[in-house]
Amino acid sequence: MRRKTIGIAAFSLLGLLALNACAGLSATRVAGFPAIQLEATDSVALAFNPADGSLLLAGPGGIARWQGRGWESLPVPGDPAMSAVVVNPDQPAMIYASGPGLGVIRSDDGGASWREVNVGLPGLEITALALHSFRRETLYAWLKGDGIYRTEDGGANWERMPDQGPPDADVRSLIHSNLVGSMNTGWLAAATPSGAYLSMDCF
Amino acid sequence: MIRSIAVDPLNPLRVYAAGPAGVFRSEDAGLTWEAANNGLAGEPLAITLDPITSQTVIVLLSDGSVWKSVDGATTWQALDAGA
Repeated sequence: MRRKTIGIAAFSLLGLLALNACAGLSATRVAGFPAIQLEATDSVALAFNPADGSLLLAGPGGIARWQGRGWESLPVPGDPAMSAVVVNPDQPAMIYASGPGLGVIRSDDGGASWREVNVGLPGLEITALALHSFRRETLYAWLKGDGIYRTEDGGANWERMPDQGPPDADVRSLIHSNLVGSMNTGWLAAATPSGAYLSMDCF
Repeated sequence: MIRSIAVDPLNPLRVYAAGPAGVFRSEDAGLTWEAANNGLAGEPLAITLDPITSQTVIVLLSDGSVWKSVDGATTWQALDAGA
């Protein structure tokens, strides 16, 4: 496993953290979507649906969809606090989302209904979720206090990856990249408070 | 502090990062970065892009506003959230 810190990491330690300390904690409501109340320290995620140009937002108040006329709430089972959402670009009705205390959920009808897909996950504290850039049945999830899990069957089964993850275990988001040079099918990038990290997908 | 990353699937050398200091763009897979905040007023919480038309980049700011760029984060415009 080779791992390198993206160049911005050192820069972030010098500049971005200092600015963050001045960001304040004032809460702001997302316009048109009263269920989500954001703070500067909240972890939220966005996903774009190329089929209709809609936008999905996962945050402390659940999942919301924006279609040009404000936000609408999507029903989410259990604890509505969400950490990530991804859309399958090839089948845009297929949406995956995650949340602390919820694990990973999947919708095959554009968010109208959801089912849990947590088999193989020893915990539910999923803080980040990524869809493989071209293998649409493969996803990666970051389990807080544990590490990276992968499914190759659309969430039916998850398995722990040997990769120990970035040095900063506070992973806020994951993304898969088809950048050339990988020993397998791509790379995983992780966003953390100490910077962004890139890891070869060699597992 | 980096909160969110987006990679251009059509040109994976192009990477976007968002955090309290703004949006940054890399054209060399993260080796070097430049600020990409022209017209963007606020603190980004999350970033994503259109995987088909990957010059279209979307950012959510901490004030709840949503901003869109159609030129790879060179310029930004606020979207009407329909409040």
